[in-house]
Amino acid sequence: MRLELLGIAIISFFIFTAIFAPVIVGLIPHDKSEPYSPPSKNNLLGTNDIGEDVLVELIYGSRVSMFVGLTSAFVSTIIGSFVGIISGYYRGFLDDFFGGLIDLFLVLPALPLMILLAAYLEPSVWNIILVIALLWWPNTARVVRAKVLELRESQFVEGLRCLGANDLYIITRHIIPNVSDLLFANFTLSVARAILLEASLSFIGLGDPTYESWGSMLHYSMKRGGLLNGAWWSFVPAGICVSLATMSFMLFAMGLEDRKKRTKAIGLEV
Amino acid sequence: MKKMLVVFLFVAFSVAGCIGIEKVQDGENVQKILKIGTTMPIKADNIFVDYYFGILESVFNDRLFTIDERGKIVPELVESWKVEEDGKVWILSIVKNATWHDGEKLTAEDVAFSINYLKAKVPGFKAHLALVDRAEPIDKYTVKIILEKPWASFLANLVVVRVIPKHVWEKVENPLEYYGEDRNVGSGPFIYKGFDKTAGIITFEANKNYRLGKPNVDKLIFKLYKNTEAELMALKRGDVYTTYFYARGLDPIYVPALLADQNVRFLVETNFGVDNALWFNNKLYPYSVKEFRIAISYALNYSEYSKTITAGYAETPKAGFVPPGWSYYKETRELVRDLAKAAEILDSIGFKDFDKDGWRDLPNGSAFTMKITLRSDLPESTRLAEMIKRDLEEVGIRVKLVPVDGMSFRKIAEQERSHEVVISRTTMWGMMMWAGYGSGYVDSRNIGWANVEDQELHRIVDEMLKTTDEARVKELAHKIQDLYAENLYVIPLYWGKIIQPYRADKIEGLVYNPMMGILNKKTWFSVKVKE
Repeated sequence: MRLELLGIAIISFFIFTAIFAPVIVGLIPHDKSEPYSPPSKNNLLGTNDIGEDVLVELIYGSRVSMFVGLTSAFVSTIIGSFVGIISGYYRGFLDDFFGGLIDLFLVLPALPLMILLAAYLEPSVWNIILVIALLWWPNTARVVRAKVLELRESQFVEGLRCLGANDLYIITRHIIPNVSDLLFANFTLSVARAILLEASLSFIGLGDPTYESWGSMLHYSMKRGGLLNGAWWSFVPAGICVSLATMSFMLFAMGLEDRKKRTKAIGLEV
Repeated sequence: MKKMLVVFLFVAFSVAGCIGIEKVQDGENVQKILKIGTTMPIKADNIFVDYYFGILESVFNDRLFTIDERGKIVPELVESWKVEEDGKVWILSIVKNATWHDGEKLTAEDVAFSINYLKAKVPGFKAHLALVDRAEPIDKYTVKIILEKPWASFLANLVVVRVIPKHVWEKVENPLEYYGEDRNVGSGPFIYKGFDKTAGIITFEANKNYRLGKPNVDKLIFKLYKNTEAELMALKRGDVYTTYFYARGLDPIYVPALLADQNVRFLVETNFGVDNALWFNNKLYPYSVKEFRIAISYALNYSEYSKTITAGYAETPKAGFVPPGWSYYKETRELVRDLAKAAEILDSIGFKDFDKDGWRDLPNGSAFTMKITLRSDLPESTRLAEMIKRDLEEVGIRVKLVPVDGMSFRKIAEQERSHEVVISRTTMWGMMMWAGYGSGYVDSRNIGWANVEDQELHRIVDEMLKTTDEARVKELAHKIQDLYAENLYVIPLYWGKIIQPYRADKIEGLVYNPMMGILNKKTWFSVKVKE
């Protein structure tokens, strides 16, 4: 429970920062200074390679990281749950087809493929979202399919069929609500992965250079002498933010799983 | 098991130790080894396949002409030359004491063969030798080059022509696929010894029979690094004594970190290329409107680019584009930021915010977004683009940055010319090609990033291509710079310096050459390895 709360607190902090970024930036000192100036009164976390305030970059960077993380996780969860439910519920040809597709995507080395796709497509936030979403859905699809296979054979679904309920009704009113906790846990894990992936792609220079993200902060710091100049403030805060954001979603997902286990243990699950 | 491990470690350390000793001792004499770090991505040791290995060719091969420290074209393998038929026929007398590394004499046959062979079989040389009809030897040491039409600045093209041994290459049908043992036989001061791809080491040994004498160092080693950080760490450790990258010095952002090391010193040299410039596609509207380009020039913050991108190792450029190092450089007006003036000009030509969305629209009322294409693989280019975007947005010009990789960039800007605006740099040799003074990049009939079809420019370029009279060349050089300044087909963003770091405790006597950097004859005969 504590882990879950800690996760929620960190996530809330980052989402609040992302939404109110312009207001927060207006409240802190952020003069343009010499490149790689150390932390000072005017630049609380120092400056980057072009003399811009690192804290301001971090604050605006949270927007890109959160947006990419949440959007790509949302899209991949939608695709994954659609494929998983259809495949598990209808079985037969659709299951064979989607099952094959899931297996195909699962055996593909995701990160190298994402790097390849990101390099081939024009670098933009939307393309990163597309790349992550398109290659991350099979994980969700696989677990959802397994759960739906179990549900479709359950007595209450059998009963609904006997009462003349159609497939759409059963799926929307009974299957989806029963896999929703699974979807939510997968969604939170996907956000964590997506944030990490966005940072990885931006770090190797395949991100959108027109938006500051934590990954691009790391990229410019590494590519433009941050390490050699000893400007730790140009890369450590961004690294911490990526780790914290990823960890917070992981903690949240773990907390949800713990809660589910506890609920199961005391026999409250329907 | 333990015994085996001890034996293995003993053997391993012995072998490693022997290799270490071999590197520094040759019999009783300690070898003088010059170690140079580079981040040039060399993948293959064939000069026709790998562009960057082709750059190292200057180490083991002499060329017909070269560039001296002041940027002048001077003969290398050529002793004397004359031009006949108004620049249509070039007769070169080559030196008589040049030999190939395998002992064969270098003759006019080799030179004529090289020119004909490169033109016919190596795609990269087709443009350089576009106007060459044929080359033929007149006698053992004289070669005649016949052009299809007069070309006064043909010498600049001969600077990049590789002279290769006929007896090696005449049997090779496809030079891009040839990896025979003799592929790197040259006539230069060093002999190619090998490329260890796993270790990332390219080795050359001094040519004791070189026509100008044996170079000062016995061995030349290039160590390849994936990134500048690793390369400079190696420099600080003393693993390499200096660094090299063609037509580019050290990114100035690294200078403060190296200044702290008292063993590292710098050569700071004039850059004959333009570090970064904003190239308009002058055929497209609204970039075809002179006043629009001038307004953009007033919106840019040149001093800021110089301060942040080059850490102050650059100066604010002049509108005439051509940097001050060049002969016949002409002082033109300095580029300054004046937002009020930019806004005033934009207003006067009808670029106003008609729909009150905060962005200026085209005079017909439709929305306008300037698309700037840039190289995503060059971090300083993306940083610069971000700053330009912000500056232009201050005068209400909406900007979209289009980052592309190097290959796509060339396709867009050179082959398709589908760009609106690009950010790119020029090299020293690039400034010399076509009619010189950067005309190759500007003129729509050549590389043409600026895609200019202005008749006045074409007339000047055409005359420069034909003129050999120095007084007239000077006049035309001034005219073309005035034309650049008046029309701003391209806006230089800063004129930078070339920064060459080296370990002062390990070496001295490096000489910088504006085209090939430290890889030049003067360096080979003046450098001293101290250890």
